[in-house]
Amino acid sequence: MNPAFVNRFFGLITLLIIVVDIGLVVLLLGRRRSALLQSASDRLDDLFGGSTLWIASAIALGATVGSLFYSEVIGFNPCHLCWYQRIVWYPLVVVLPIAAHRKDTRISTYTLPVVAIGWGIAAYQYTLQNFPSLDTGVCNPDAPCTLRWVWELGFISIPMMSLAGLTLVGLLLLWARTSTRQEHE
Amino acid sequence: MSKNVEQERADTTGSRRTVIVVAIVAVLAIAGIAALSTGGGNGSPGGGGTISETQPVTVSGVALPRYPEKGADPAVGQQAPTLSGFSFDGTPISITNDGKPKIIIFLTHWCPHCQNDVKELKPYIKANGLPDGVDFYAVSTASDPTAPNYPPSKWLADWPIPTMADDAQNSAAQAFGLNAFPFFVFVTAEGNVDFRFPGEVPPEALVEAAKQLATGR
Repeated sequence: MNPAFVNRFFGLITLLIIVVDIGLVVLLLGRRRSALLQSASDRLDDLFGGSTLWIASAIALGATVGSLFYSEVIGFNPCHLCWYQRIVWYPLVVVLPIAAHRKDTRISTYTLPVVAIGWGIAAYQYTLQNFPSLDTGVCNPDAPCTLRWVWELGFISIPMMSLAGLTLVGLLLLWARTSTRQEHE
Repeated sequence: MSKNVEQERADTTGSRRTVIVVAIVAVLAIAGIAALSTGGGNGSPGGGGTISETQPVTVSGVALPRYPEKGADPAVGQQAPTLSGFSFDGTPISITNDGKPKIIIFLTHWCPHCQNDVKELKPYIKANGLPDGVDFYAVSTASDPTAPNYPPSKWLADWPIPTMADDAQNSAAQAFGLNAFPFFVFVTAEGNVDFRFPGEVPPEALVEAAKQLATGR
């Protein structure tokens, strides 16, 4: 498969996720202060409230498949920071669907710290990619963490994909926790 | 709770899930179509003509040991191997023991630190020239069409230092024992390794080190 097409595809998906991330942050932060945002939040809750954990599962599955596709099919060599992020993502593919099936929103208590750690690692790697001088000053010949295998739309690299995805999973976990619909179903 | 209400709730949940699945599929399809239509390029290297990103390299002499992670460099004082090869456009380049001290810079196009070095060194050298008494060479190695900033011939198009293209097996880089990019090797007039080091170097420091190499310190 053409790597340029794959990069553009994942880049566009990531852009969409970033937009959704921003929207969810605005809703989560502003719904208690604004009737309009509360109304939008309620509508969203009606539409997706019972499925937030399933959506988070889909994001985790997409990230896992994407990371494996990049390394196993296209041949990008994961650096050590990429591996740490994989350690965060891969178990989510297992635990989130189980929690979704059991409608167990308490899963957020256990998974949010993991998501936060992954988020921090992704943010750190993205910073290194943009400011490589913060790194050791050399590139590992095999897999440097500063290397931008992907650079779509002028700002989307693989750690940015991870960052956006983990943000969405974290927000969905928070949403599931505060959603009453989840408990009623 | 009556059966009808339960049935209604089950129907609502089912239809909501259908909406979500359809929405996810639609998003993936739209992203796919957009990715196809915006191209993302064909991923093929530029080039054309006689430009080649890798060229055959002949290594003579004993390869240097790999640069150590810690401790003294065992290659210091050792006779440096010599290289015969070509620039990207096929111009022959030899890096031999010709009685002149020399600095060899190993670069790879995808490494941000190499990119920084080239970005800083290029205007500095163009403005100030290279110090007398030392020959400078660059070797473009680890070329990878799938990695960023490809092709290196384009990246180093107006680079003022004679540049040899390494072969696909990175023979030149391996012969000089590099363990990271960028990698600098200082060779004395006698053809021995004066010192090697990996990492970015400010132009002023490199030129100062070159002057010391030229005068034999």
